[in-house]
Amino acid sequence: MKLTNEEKKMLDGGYGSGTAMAMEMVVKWGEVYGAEKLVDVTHTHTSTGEPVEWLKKISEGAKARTYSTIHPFPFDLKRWEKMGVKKEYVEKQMAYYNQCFPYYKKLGLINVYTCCPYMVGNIPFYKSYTNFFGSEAVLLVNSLFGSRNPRVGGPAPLLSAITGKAPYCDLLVEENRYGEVIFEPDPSLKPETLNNADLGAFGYYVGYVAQERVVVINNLARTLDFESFKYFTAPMATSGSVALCHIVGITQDAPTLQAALGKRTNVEKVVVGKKEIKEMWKKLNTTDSDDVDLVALGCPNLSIPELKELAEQLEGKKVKEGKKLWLGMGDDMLNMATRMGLIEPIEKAGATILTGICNGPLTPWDKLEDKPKVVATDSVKGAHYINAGSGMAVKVRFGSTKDCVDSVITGKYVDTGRWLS
Amino acid sequence: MKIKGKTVFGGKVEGEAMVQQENFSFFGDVNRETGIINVGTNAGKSFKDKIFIFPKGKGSTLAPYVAINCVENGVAPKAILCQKADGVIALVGVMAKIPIVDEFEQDIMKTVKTGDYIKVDADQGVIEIVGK
Repeated sequence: MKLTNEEKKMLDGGYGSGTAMAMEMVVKWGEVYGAEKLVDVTHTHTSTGEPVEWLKKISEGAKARTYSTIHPFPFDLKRWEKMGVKKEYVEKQMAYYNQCFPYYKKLGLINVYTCCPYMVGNIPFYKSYTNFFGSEAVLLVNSLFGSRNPRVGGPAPLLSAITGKAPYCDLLVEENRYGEVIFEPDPSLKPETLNNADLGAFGYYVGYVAQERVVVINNLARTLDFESFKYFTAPMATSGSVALCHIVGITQDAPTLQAALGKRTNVEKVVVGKKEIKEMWKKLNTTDSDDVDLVALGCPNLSIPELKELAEQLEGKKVKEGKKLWLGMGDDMLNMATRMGLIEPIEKAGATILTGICNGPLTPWDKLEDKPKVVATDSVKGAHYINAGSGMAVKVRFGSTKDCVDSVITGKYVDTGRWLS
Repeated sequence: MKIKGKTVFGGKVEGEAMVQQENFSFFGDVNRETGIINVGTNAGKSFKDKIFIFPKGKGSTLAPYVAINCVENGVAPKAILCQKADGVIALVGVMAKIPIVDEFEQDIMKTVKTGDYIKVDADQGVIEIVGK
């Protein structure tokens, strides 16, 4: 691999032992892919969960060279009691986090603690090189912003933050970014009528079929906003490991189908119809019980438009005794929503606001004092990982946001979707 | 019998082979305190001190952190051999300092059996099956 003088200086310890250690790993990672050079990374988003000794060594003398944010935690560090997380588990985890925090501060990482860091300023430019943690974040920056982001994840974003570098390989290289499989909705689906949960089930099917291939969605024949985009694409990185999804007419690299496919020809085409969505909907619903104990929303984390809708739906209503409604978001979203007067009706209705949390996938279900039997969610990713993470001990109702919220107000879950019949 | 592969992360070790037929993830597929595997061919057995062999990596990108925990807890495998290492498995080697060799000239999943005694020279990217 060819290194610049500056990169050699980092590797040789000219910028301290932490940077040298990170650089050594970036070079090794590049060698596995046969990369010929490194490129400059501008934006990163790092996970938590580093072993403390390792974090200490790699932060030695180092500062983040990128705009770098931090992912959320499995539980709300301030409101864990409201969640009913067992105290001994919280104490053990907090002792660990408290050891990590000084290093995050030293590195200058921005503690947004949300899985949607682009909602609070971590916005990459088109064709810039980035390294985000989180399967949905990788997919979103690659597709919507069109930055060039590798699939590696884990510690790799922190390595890029410290060195400001990534090996030039994988999805950073243009020719690896062209579509490898095309999905089209069957016109009978009436794509313009699909709500976010329907789109999620669609995306879940795409992930199963595509696995790790670059996806192209053609003839979607509707617009998407930021919210529908995240609910549509996150499932592709749940049932599969899709890291780039071109949506023709919507995402950066796909003004036309031809542009998304580049020079590739004879690309497999898959039509998605009612049958496929029904199949996914049934797979995600692991119970038909209408007695839902807890509704978990905010996977990925809630945005202002979503909080506006929730405030309207909950205005003057009351969550039934014994039922819970958990809303997961970043602290900054909560501040904004509070100023906008959206939080008052939500809290009055008895919902639980949770911040800095991955609501669903990372929730420690087995560490709750009062473990729910049935959880409802509008998130495919949430539903999938609640099933996996709880060892199927917690059953899932998956459906629209409205059906989920209604279930804790009326006390009875009613699926008003069109897929179960 | 010597088989040539490609160095992912160097080092020289020897030990008993443990072959996992399924693609493997350090996050979820193994207990980081005991090294006991949860799923597949070796469910219920520990990969501690084994030459651990599987086709490919899969799943969560948090794998390298779990691998470090395994090393700290003294339950990590001595080396990893696989058909093809992706970036996540590469970082398992780099971070946890576990020797890894991949891309063998023969299919490693067919050539090596659980219980074979293997010498791994990951610096040269070569393994030698020396006996059962």
